[in-house]
Amino acid sequence: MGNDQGQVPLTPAVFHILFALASGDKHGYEIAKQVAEDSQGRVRMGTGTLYGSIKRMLADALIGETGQRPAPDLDDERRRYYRLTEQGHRALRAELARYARVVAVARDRDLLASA
Amino acid sequence: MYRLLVRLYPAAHRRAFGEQMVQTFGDHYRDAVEARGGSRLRFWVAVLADGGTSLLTEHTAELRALWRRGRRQAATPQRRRGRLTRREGHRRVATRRRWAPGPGAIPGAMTRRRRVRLRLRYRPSVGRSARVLVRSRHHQLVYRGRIAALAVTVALIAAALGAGTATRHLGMSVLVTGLFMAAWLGYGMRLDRRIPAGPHWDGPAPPGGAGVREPLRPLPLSPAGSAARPMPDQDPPGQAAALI
Repeated sequence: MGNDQGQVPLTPAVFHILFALASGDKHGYEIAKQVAEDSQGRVRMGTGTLYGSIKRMLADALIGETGQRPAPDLDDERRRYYRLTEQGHRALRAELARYARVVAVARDRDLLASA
Repeated sequence: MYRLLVRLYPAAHRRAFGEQMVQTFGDHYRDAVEARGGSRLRFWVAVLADGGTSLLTEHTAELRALWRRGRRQAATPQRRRGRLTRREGHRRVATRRRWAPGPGAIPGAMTRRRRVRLRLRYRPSVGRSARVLVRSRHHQLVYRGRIAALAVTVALIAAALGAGTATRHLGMSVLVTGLFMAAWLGYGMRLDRRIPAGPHWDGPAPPGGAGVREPLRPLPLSPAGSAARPMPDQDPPGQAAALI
């Protein structure tokens, strides 16, 4: 999994988690809320799916746990915060570039006008 | 309730993410049901559907990892390239049927029968697991279900919920799901008694701890004991004095 091109295309869950973490470090429920917000409520990630994806992404070094925590009055010690790794950034950029190419081709073929 | 669901995940996953999952579930429940006043039934249907699919995914991944590990351990020297060659003068010659006894065989190489036996031995033993779910003073509730039964139940529940959602008969599908769950729990749950091996029912365990019992000894005048005593004319040389 060291090759970024090997990780493209990403699964929807992995893509949405990477996309959510691109705006900053978050814990599990914040990621789920951000995913729902980014997709205008179309994607609702359940707890099992979320942590299954997080486990695989940690193993693939796309994300990592961060030691930085918010202020103690806003924090719960049991929570774990996740951040994007450099490899995760590269995988996200590669996936977005793939989407951009698909959109460009669709635009060339006038497929987006009818949508 | 959700803690019970989390206990069904593979142990490694549960250890790494169990507490976080319960906490995230709590946050989600408070946000979706208590703060926004959403439907509890819809919330639980979504949770069970997500839990079913992720349970299936995690157990499949766990089984695959176990299987791969077992295969790697059971890999015989015959499979490793470059190691099973024999020297003939200055040349290295690879043998075609290395496992077969005979002139081509490598000394010390495994026979095919042993290889097959090893492969079976390293097959991951994931068929049956026993987990204590609830423990009281005298009883414990043990889950002894099989992974295959869990997979079948999850598939049935997912099918019932999917069909209920598609046909908009959610109530009926939840009822059917409950029946599947009850059948599965009835199949896998056992209520065991925890009886200490002490002299009294409620008394403390004897020295050595509960469950440690002395082995049964034969009675002094039992037929087994009398038969075991050697006859005087059959004394082995040098041991006759011991009987006097």
